[in-house]
Amino acid sequence: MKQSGRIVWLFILFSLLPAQVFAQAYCALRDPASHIQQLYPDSNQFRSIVKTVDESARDYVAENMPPNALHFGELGRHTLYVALRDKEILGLVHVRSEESRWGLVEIAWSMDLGLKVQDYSFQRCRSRVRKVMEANNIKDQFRGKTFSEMKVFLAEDGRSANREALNVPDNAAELAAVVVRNGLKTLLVTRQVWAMEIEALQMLKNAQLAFPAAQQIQLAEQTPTSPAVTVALKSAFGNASIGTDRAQIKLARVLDHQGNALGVIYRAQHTISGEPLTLWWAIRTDLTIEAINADTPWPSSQVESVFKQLTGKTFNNSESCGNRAELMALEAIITARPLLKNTEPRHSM
Amino acid sequence: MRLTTDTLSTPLTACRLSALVLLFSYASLSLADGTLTPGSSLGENMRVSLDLSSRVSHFDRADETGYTNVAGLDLHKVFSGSNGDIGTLIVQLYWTRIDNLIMRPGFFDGPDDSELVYRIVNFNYTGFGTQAPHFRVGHFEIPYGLEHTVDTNGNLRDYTHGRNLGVKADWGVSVNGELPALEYEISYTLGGGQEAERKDGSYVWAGRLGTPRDNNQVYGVALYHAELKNTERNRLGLDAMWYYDLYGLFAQLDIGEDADNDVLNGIVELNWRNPQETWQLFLQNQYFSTDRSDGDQQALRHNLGIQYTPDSHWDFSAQYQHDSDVFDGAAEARILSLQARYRF
Repeated sequence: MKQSGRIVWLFILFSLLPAQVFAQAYCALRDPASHIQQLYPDSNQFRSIVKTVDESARDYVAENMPPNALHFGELGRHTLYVALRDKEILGLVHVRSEESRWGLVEIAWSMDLGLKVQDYSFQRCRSRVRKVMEANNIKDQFRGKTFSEMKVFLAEDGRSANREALNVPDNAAELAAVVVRNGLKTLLVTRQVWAMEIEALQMLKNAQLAFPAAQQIQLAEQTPTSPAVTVALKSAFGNASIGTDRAQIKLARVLDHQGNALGVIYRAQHTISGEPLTLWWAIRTDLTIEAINADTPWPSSQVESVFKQLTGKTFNNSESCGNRAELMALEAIITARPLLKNTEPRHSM
Repeated sequence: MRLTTDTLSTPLTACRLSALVLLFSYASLSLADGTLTPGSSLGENMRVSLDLSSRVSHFDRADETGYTNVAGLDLHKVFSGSNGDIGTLIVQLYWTRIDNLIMRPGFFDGPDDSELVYRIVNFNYTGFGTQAPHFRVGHFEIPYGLEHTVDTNGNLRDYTHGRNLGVKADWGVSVNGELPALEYEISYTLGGGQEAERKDGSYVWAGRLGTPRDNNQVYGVALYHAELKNTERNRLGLDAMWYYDLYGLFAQLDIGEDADNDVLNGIVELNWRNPQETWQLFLQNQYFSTDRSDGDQQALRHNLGIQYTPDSHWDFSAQYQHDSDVFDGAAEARILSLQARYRF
């Protein structure tokens, strides 16, 4: 029985190691391929991004939607799926499970890159009113919702459905509460665990929109507050603010399939007509503006027109700028310029 | 391809295995380098666990107690390219030590033995797209019946692949896929079980077509044709799973022949889980019959089991197996098994 003794010691030794694992053997894991297909009928492939959902995610959920928490099966290594049509990013799919009196309910949620719900599909649900919650008039109430917009569907007790905000039949109220809790958890966990990857995907999607040859992106380690950029911005603008929140700026270099730089994606939150507006600027290697896209609808067609007229232009200093949009363009170019230095073609071996 | 484990049956080997696991685990934590480039890290999209279990089986009729101790590596890695996922690698290598196990799988040389057991070791190529066929190569479960849809890996709960088909998992290739309304897998394997070789011209053809396994009603039809130990086996299998709230009713019917002997086998299982799915109970009845030259033979086996999974690490289970009828000349089995399993 010496072998048994050794196994006991191994149990004791490794029980002490903190880790997040999956209770079932990994051969039981299956991708929700048919659900991804159902949620994105135009997709023909998906890409997995596996990360660890740990105690910090559990705390994040507990903090944002008490008294809910993640049960042990929701922790561990989990997958966020990126639905693709060829290389085009269509959206995200994540599957979460939720305890219910029918056992665990597993729901595949589709979200856009801004983490708004697009649709959902029951992967597993033993409730007999499942079909009620699959009806379009119910799903339409979830579609397009952000976390804060969907949280209205949760009653004050944090567990049941708010029937004043969510219109569901009486017999489906309990399952509706499960769906709401599951959806809210999905949005929170996705935001907390895959934040960096989603940011990169947003960059990649905007890169693909602006540069058809875009194959990959490199998120910038350099920040707008780096000494060189700070000096350049101060030289151009002094201490004046032109309505760009520099703390929110994100940058990525865009590369083609051979690793050659095509340009830079510069994301910034601006204040335009008194309202915040996130813009995605695509800047070519010659420092001209390739494209400008907004996350949300433009404040007006006039504002949109002013910004769209920047396409193909470049700016060297504030004297060459005739309006605030052009000053914003100059700021984007100054900030992005260091990423476009040393961009001689790099050929793959 | 079979590895016997003279060089592996030491605690040092277990330590090497665990060191490998820890290495992969930490590699998987250092994924994010700010570059959205597929395949940039060995640990990207990888899950690794060390899986330890200890099982005690008391054979009531023989009044013997056997032990099975297992230390295994369970690895799951998704390979991705810029166009999406390319495929999934699963590696489950289990160092398995048995002591006084008088009823055991055939790949053990005796009641006291150590083997490196391949459970599931295969690569499934998925690069042709979501709805296109996938291609699997390696060691995998024969796609047939309930076993194909229910996870029994390392559990006491099991179905009848071994006795009904002659092989549970085998080396070979398969075409598989999943569509919104059905899933399928068709395989050709070598018939060697643990060993990646044909023995005496052995081979196994199997295929199952079924509705999605996560539905509340699951139906499958399977065909099986094999040459194993110079005996031809043919089966038509029908399987079904019905879920009602916390209850599940599973059934499988197998019609076919072993050599020239007609065979009719079946399984009926009733199971229950609590709402948190930490507890599971099951009662399984297995029926076997054949019309051998020495007369019709019938056997009836009952399995009553319980499984408790308090967290993502521990899994405790118990099962009592009772043969109420056996083929002529066979010994009735009454086996009480207890198992503790820990994954980290």
